[in-house]
Amino acid sequence: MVDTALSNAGPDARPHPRGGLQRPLAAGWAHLRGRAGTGSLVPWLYLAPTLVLLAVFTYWPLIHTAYLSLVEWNLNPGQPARFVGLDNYSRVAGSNLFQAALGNTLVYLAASIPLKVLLPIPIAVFLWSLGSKGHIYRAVLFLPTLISFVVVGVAVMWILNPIFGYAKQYAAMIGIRMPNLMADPDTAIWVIIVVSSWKVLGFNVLLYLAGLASINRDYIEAMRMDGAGDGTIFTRLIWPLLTPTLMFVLISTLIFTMQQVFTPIDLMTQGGPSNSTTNLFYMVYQYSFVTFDVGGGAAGTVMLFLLLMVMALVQLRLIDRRVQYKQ
Amino acid sequence: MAFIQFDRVSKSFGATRVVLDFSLEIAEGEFVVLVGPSGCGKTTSLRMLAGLEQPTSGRILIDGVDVTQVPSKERGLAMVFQSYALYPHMSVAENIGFALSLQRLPKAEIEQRVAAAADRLDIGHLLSRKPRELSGGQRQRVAVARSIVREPRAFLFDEPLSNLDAKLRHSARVEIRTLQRQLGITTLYVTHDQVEAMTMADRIVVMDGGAIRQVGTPMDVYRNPNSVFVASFLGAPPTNCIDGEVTVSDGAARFVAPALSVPLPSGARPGRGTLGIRPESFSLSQQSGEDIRLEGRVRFVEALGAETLIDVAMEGQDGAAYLTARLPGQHDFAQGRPIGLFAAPASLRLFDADGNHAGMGR
Ligand SMILES: Nc1ncnc2c1ncn2[C@@H]1O[C@H](COP(=O)(O)OP(=O)(O)OP(=O)(O)O)[C@@H](O)[C@H]1O
Ligand SMILES: [Mg+2]
Repeated sequence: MVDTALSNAGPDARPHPRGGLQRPLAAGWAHLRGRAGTGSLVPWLYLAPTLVLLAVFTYWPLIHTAYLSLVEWNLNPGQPARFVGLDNYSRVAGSNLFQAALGNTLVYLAASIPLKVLLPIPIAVFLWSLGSKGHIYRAVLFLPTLISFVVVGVAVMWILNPIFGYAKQYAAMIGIRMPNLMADPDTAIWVIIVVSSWKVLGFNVLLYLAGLASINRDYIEAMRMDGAGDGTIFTRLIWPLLTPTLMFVLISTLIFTMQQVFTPIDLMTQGGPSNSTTNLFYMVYQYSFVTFDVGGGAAGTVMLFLLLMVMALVQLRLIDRRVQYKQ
Repeated sequence: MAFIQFDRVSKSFGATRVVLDFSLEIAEGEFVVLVGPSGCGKTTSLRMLAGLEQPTSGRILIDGVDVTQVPSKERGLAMVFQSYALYPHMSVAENIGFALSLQRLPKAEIEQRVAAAADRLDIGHLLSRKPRELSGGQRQRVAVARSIVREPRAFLFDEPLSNLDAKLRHSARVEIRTLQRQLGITTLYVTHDQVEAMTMADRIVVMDGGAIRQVGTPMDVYRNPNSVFVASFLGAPPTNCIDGEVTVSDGAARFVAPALSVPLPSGARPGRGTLGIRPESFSLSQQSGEDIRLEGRVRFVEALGAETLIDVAMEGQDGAAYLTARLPGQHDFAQGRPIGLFAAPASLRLFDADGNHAGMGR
């Protein structure tokens, strides 16, 4: 090593293109900058930490889950796993739990578009139009994002409790008896949807504000001079320039919403009443860790993975086609 | 085409007074340039006319109608922004035709008018491009095309050329001026570039600290600045301003400063004052018997090719005065060499202790 370094230090010390790891580090750098990736190990060294982490925590679990979805096993290390082919898939797909979870997942997703993706837009535009006066509202709106969902869930359950809850007196004021929202299969899911929307609202408002911040205010004044009113400015300027942000918020919210509702479901309803609030994500947990049906849980995971992948692909295609990128 | 009046307009942002008692009339078809140092309130005045900023007090009238409370979209004015503010998601054609599409004109008419405006500015081949695919000069043309396509009542320009290089700036100056003459549209043009002000304006408005200091044709303001501020703002290099004292004895007035004493025409009143001499007023030889003569030493020579700038120091017992002479042609002077400069008495301009013109000379 020392010899190489010394001999390389002569007037002809240009790095050899195929010197590999035997060259001193400085030469390795020069080589990287000069001709990247011609058989050298150096780039792989830089990539190694990421690759190792990905392999251990992402790809291996993925493969192992695929394997587990083909066996029958109850988490007992002493018990051998039994290969059952695609039985787990047909069993899970045919179950009432899966069908309820799939239906509810679609409700959660559909409801999050108006509540979590679209509702923040007018709020963000309003705060943006306030300029620096809007900072305090920004902070207030962002606060729910910082509060633990466990705290929020418990608080909401207290508020909505039909016997000693806070909401009871307000219901009485308008002359109705407080219904037990959490116990009714028709309303329980909406409680979770509203609470989770409230919690993510401020965060998405912040994302839109970041998008709006990149819109030059001169554009707006130019449009005013061109004869546009507020409505036209919104539809012809702000909306098109906000589409990249909108697409980002849409994708991240839809994918995140699956996991986001896990905590309130587990805390407030455990998927009930009669499976009316469970979703695919919670169902996997129910299979794996409530009934210890590892094969069923793994099969559910694989199906959930495929669903998310399809969603992501569709959305990426949409982005490519629709989005107006700015200069 | 419109006739515009600012009637004692003032603007404050909080406690900061930005425009003070601004009164100005712009005739139909006139090209008026607002100049002044950075932060003097030029943009703010323009924006108040545009309706983008509300005056704190005073009125703005277009064709005799008070529009102070009228929103910008109803004022019928077109503005070219310093940043051009081209809509980034629209093509050049859509940018130019946007105002027309808001007026719900037939598509064919929009296309025809967009094409005509684009032709005028030589950007017909760029119509399908997005603004990000244009050079700075092309963007500037698109911005101008966007403002002429609607046939506005007046053009407002806020430093439209400040992002261009010197050569492009020259041709754009000529083009904007030609276009404005052809269309005959009233124009208010803001710049801090005095060359633009001198070459483009029918009338110049010199502003300082939110107030108008002088209004007049470019030549009038250049020749007869009413204050030290205007004298030193217009012209490059600026007017030589020398602080000193006016003394009168036996009816003959003299201006006396450290290292300098020159006779003044009669009528000057004694007291402290400032003498202004334009750099180009100097010559190396006496032109007439009345010429005053200044003696000094060469400090520095800047050869610009067609002309030469010479920095001269005049040193006396009680201090020194410095001035710059601008001489046509090429001159080579060694540093420190004594030099004599002549200037016609008519080219001297005397300002009183407050910096205002003291009413003598030309
Ligand atoms: N929205 C605002 N809030 C507070 N102060 C402002 C605002 N806009 C402008 N000012 C102040 O008003 C003064 C005049 O600003 P203006 O933009 O009119 O100057 P300007 O003459 O156009 O200068 P420049 O040549 O640098 O563009 C400046 O001191 C500026 O700081
Ligand atoms: Mg300005």
